[in-house]
This record gives sequence, C-alpha cells and structure tokens, in this order.
Amino acid sequence: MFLDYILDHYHNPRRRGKLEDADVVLKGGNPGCGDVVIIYIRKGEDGRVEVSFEGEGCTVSQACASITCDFANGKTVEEIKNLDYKFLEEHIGDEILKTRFKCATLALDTLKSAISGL
Amino acid sequence: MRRNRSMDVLVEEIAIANNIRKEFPSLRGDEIYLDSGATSLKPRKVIEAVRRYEEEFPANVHRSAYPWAEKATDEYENARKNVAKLLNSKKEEIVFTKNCTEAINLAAFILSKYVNRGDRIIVSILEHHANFLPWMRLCNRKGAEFTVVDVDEEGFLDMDDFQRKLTKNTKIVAITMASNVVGTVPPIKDIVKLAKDKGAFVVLDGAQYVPHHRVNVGSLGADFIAFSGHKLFGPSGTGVLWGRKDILDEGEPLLLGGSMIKEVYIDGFEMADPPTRYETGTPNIGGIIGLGAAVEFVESIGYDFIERYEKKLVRYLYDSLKSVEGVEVYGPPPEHRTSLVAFNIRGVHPHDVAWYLGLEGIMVRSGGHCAHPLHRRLSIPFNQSVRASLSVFNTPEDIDRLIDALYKVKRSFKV
Repeated sequence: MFLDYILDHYHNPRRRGKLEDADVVLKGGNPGCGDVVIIYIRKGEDGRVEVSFEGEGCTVSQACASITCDFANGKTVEEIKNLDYKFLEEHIGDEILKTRFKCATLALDTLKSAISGL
Repeated sequence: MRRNRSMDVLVEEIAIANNIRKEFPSLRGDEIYLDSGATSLKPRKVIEAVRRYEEEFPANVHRSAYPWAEKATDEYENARKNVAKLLNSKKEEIVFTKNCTEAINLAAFILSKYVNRGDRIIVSILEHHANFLPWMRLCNRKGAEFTVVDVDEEGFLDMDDFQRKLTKNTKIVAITMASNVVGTVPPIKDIVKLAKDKGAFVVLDGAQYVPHHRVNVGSLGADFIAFSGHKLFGPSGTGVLWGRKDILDEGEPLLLGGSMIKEVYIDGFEMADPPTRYETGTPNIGGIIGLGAAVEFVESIGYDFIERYEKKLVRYLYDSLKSVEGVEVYGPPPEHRTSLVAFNIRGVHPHDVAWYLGLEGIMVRSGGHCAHPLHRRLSIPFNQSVRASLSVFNTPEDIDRLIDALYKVKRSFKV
C-alpha cells in the first residue's frame, strides 16, 4: 500500500500555505463531503509557475494536494495543462486512485482549472 | 485482543439472526453490511416479488380490465393493506411515495394551507435535512417562524427547550422518531401530547424508527408519519406517508396529472379520493409490490424479536466502540437509542476510516449523514462521522470484526 507515502504528505505537507501576490487563486471542493482545496499560482518571469495550496478534508484529498503541488511547482503552464492522472497513479498507486478518485483528483482538477485562468 | 465488554446476546438469538442472514442473496461471502440505516438489504422474498411482477404481470395499475392489469392492481393494493396492518391504520391513510423525503415534502405541502404569517413551526436539531428543509422553506414562504429545539451534549432532546418553544402560535411540530446520527429516540408520546394540547399538527419522521420498532398510529395520535420502504427491506424507490384521513381528505397533491383525478374538464377538475389523489402518474409498481413482501418479511420475524435482539446488539456495538482508545462515540447510551452508532477515530478523517473498512469488507457510512446542523451543534470534528447501523441479520461477530478492523485503521494511520 501507498498509505505510508500518503500519510507522510498528509502530516508533512509540501507547498502548503498562501502564495502572496498570486496571479490566480481558485477554490475547489467536493460538494457534500466537505473536502476543500484552494490553489495558488504565481507566474514567474521565466515562464515557470509557483504553486501552493491550502485546504481541509480527508487524508487522501489533502495528501494528494501536497503531492500535486509539489509535482507541479516549477513547471511551465503548458506542462501543467498537459498533466493527467498518470502522475498521481505513479505516486499513490492505482488502488487508492480508483477507490478514492474524487478525493485524489480534487487538487489536480482545481489546479488545471486555475491554470486555464492564467 | 478481546476488550472488556459484556455481551448478553443469547446463542439462540444469534442462530436466528444467522438464519435470517441466509435470506439475503447479496450477503454471499464474508462481507459485513453495517449500513442498513442508509438502505436495507433486500431479502429473497422481496426480490422474488419484484421479479414476479416484472416477468409475469407487468401491467399498469388502476387502468385496464385485462387479467395482468387486474393482478398488478390487486398486488399493489395488497401492499397497501400490508403496510396499513403493520401500522394498525386504515388502508386509505397509506400513501406510497418514492422515499421518506418525498413523504415529508408531501406532508409539508398538504399542511401549507394551514400556516400563516406569524405562525411557528417547530423542528429539532436532531433532524435529517429531509425533516428540516421542507419546513424551513414553508416558513420562509409564509412568513412563519422556523424554530429549532436543542439537544444536550449527549444528544438527548431538550424537553424544557421544547416546552418553552411550544407557544400558542405553533402550527406544526415536525420531529424525528429516532435520530439517524446519534440514534436518540425522543419521548414521542409526550411530544405528541404536548403539541396536541396546543392544537398543533404533528409530523413524525420514522425513517430510522419504523424498521426497528413497532408503530401503532392509532395510539400515537400524530397526524403524519413518514418512512422509507427501502430501509424496511423494500426495494429502492419506495416510501410511505401515513396521514390522518380527515387531513388527507382536505389536502392537495404535490403533482397533477394522471391517476389523481376523478374528472377533468376544460375549465377545471375534480380530485380523486385519497390515497390515489396523492399517487400521481404511474407509481413504482414493482417496488411497491416488493414493499408489500418486505412487510410480510418483517412480520414473519416479528417486531418483538427485532426489538429485543437489536437492543442487545446495539448495546454491544456501543460498548465495543467505547472500549477502543481514541474512538469518540456520539449520542446517548444504548438504552435510549435505536440500532445505530456514530463515531470517529480521533486524528483520522471519517472518509478515510470508512474507505479503509471498505477495503476490509466492512460497509459503513461516513459523512454528514444529511444532518449538518446536528454535527455542528455537537462540535463533531470535520462536521462528519462514521456510522455503523444494524439490522436483524447482523451478529456480535460482525461487530467484533468491525472493532478488529478499527484497530487496523489506527495502526495504519498511526494514531
């Protein structure tokens, strides 16, 4: 199981916190379940972006927000637009991704919506 | 790792429960279903009744004169007789709906004409949203006062608060017969009497009560009781509104169209008598026939056994959960609750608990259980909880496996 990896990101989140002077701030949530993720994006002069998040909710949603932001941070806008669920599967395994799809993909979906607003 | 908890369930009772369990085709392996509070499993008898209708006489009801149609109508009306007998009511007082939510909305619609500006409608903080929002909207539309009775920290209804709020201008009291989160069974007879003394209508949400306890509408004295057929071993898409005949006679249906009329003219219409008046359009015929079979299933086990056995089982569940360090249990002691317990493991989100239990073959529900105000009132972490809800086919062994799996959750999530 990838649970230990998930728990590490949950208890020691990477890229968690507000980004001052963010170019885009977007809140995403799964209605009815209470999971919330806010994505912050700041575009640098080199075309790469800084990404961070805030949020609350279940272990999987918050851990995957950390994994997603850590992975996306420093990438170009185009690279983020081309991200799909594959990298998540590589990080957390297909069992968690399949059985907790909405939780696991909340941050990625919010990030991709946010980047299209840049 | 056996914990310090007593079990007073008798071996004979467990044998009966295990026999009942065999009636459920969905329980094929060693999966453990602890979510009967969301919807019950369907016994073979119910599935067979639905299959017979769909395969052998799949005609519409109350319309045609050929044999299939007559058979379908007979079976559909027989289901109504069964439900009426279960509640000790007249069959004209039984309205079939698609679920308990629709039944409560229908009651609110029927009663809406009696509510005026300045009136008061009382609900409790224990309510499922289905017995909360229809009344809130009715109050908003009519300029009436939406009043919520509080609970104490243990989840007992605050009867002093109820009596304080039960003013002369109270038009409707809508209260649950058993909370779907904390399991509290309020003193319904007292509530009905107090409300009636003030001349208020009383609507009872029996969704979590009727599947576990006998209800005698005659002696209860309420005006409406709503419950789900699908929580009473019936098919999904079935619910019941029992309503007092004189109120049903004066009411209007939610929907207009087929079935609900006697005659239609180009400038008006005459409504059919209840209950047909309230069952507009083609109903869930197979489902209702299945519900009729579900009532027979309940009667064949008997409420005496269901109540006696589940009372012991819920005590064992409650004590077992309490024995696990780090588990918070919500609501009153087992002698004051129906057959369910909501809890959390401190430090683990309820979704994660339910998900992990699911991987272990144990099915429980997590979330706000359509009772967000109650979760907030009791300051439950994340405003959500895990809920294990029992049925008569569950056994102490199911509960032992739940507890063992909770220890695994604690180990895996390192709490």
